[in-house]
Amino acid sequence: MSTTTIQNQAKTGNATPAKPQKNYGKIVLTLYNCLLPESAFKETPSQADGLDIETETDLRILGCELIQTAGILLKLPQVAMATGQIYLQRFYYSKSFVRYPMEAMAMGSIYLASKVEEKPCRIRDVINVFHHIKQVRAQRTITPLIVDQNYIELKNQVIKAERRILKELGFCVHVKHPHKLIVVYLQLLQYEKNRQLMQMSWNYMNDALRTDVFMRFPPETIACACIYLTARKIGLPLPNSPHWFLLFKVTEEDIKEVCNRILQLYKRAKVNPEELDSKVDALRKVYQANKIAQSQKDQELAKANEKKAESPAASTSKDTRRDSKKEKSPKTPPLSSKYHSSSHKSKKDRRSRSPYDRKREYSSKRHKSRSRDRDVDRSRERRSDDKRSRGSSRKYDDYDRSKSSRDGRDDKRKH
Amino acid sequence: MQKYEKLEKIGEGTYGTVFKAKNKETHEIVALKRVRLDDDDEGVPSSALREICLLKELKHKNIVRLYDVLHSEKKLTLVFEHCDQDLKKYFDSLNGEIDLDVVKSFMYQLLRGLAFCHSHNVLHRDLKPQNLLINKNGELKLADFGLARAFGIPVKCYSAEVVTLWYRPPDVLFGAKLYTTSIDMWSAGCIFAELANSGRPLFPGSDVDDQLKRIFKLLGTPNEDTWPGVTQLPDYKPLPVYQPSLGLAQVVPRLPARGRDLLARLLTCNPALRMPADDAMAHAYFHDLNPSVKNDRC
Repeated sequence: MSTTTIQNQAKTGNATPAKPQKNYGKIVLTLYNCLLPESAFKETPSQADGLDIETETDLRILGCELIQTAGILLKLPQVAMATGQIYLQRFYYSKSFVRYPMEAMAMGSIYLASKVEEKPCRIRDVINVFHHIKQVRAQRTITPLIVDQNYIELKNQVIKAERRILKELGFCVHVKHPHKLIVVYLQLLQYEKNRQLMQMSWNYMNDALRTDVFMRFPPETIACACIYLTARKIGLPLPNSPHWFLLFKVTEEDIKEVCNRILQLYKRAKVNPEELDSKVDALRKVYQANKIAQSQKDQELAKANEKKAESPAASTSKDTRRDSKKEKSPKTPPLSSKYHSSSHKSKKDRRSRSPYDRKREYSSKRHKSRSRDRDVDRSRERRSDDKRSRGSSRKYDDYDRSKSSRDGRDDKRKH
Repeated sequence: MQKYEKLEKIGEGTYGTVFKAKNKETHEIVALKRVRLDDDDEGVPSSALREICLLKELKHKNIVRLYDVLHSEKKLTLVFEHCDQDLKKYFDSLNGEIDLDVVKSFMYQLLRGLAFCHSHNVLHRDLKPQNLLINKNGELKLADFGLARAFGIPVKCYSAEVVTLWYRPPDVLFGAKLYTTSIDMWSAGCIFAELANSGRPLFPGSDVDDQLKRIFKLLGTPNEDTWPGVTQLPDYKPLPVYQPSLGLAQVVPRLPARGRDLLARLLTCNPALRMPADDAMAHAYFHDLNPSVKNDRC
């Protein structure tokens, strides 16, 4: 497939066997290593918490829309909105909407993205803009946000969200966006003067940010798909013997896959924020009730262990105690508690999947597995095919990192 | 955090305190850089952000290694490989003149680290002796990537407020916002001269104008012939016309002719003509470099 994959392999090749791994929390993510394996889409953390896939998809779309609108109001460059949307998308492949409210994470995403793209805005402005958007959406009279305890609480949430994202993404915050690639490719094809082609491709790219293609395909493929889709739409024949996209080492199969995923977006019904909120709230209550029950159980277990273990097992019981204490913590759990709060099953999953395994999985199995998976996905998509419309604009690429960061974290916790 | 035992404070970094510490399990000495995260503040400082996300990609013998990031409620701790001193302190500890073989070795290592950064699309943007660390084995490592950034192609607009004045190239002094790897190469040239002079800075300007005058007194004032486009730079101002003094022999008397040639290629006002790091490593000056330095691949 793309150069991205090749670089991946090369990097892993050099980095892993050459040096004896030291006992540090490993940060092995690279700029190129950010696509998710198919399995990540099969069961997301939100689905594990009982959220249905349609609601999750709607939440992702709504979150991306919020970031895009907020970015425009904050007068940020489009690249910051694109980066922010990618953060949000990636984050929720490693954490659940049920446990981490979307709005705070969306604020954290755009705020972090503004810093990374060197156009920093203030947290205060982010909060104000989100407040404004919500008022407009609910068609309420626009009133300014009062600086009170509530505001301070909100600000702390944004700061925490930023750090959570950083941790989840393993500080891998540089995103390679396909925007530039579109320009470069159209120049190479000598179509850079065709404004319609350029602009429409760009629009598709920005819309694509709301889908999962940036976690499935490298930016090169997405850039080609957006050009391909536009050329079809406006009836512009591009060189086909050989096919133009072969020049960029992209296959038609991948391009069609991306196009389909983008086009699905326009068929969805408009998102109803209130409905989504109530669904997530209901699940959150269940989750919190379970958490309390679990922590009580843990406490009892810890007590039992304490009695049993006078000597060698002492350290284990201490750990358990620490865990249960953390789990008791309030609605916004401290950063460190994340690792403890997930179900045993997902913990096991995590551990078994080392970042290297994942990479390998991606680079070697992708081709074979994709077509199979795609059929499955298509049928899923078809089911959800209630005619919908949506106009928008956004962007882009990656993933893998969230997983490796998880592993890294697990390591850290052990220390 | 309990994994490390703090030994002593090393200094104050751009955004936090640096401590020397020992890993209690492996007894390895590390440097801990603490970033305070005050809740009423604006989150994680962008310099820390840049340093973490770039350094974790850059694993090279001549770049300080970021081992780990420890995240806690109140602070962020970066765990770095520990080096004994920085180049500035090394200069201070020199009694008398620096060995010319050491100059060559340090310069080569500096270029090798830079070539690696540049090949990974990272600009350091703040090279100076304080940011070059030296360990007991005579290894030199680039540090403090708080101002560094990843660059893409095509280049975007970057901030003009980078690089400590003394090591800032004339194009940036004139307000150029589209700089590339050449920004680091100028700084490398300034450091080369400083090395050869056992720690005496080459252009210790007091402000932007003074800095430019000092540069042009040595190299000649650039014009549209020697540097097409110079008059179009945002902060361009006509300065007294100095003729090139060709005085490198006087400025760096101890450096041999080949070294002076390399220096001249790095200290080129026109950024387009400034020598890139990998070419500089292949320069004749390094032909007789101690093979143990040259072959020490990472």
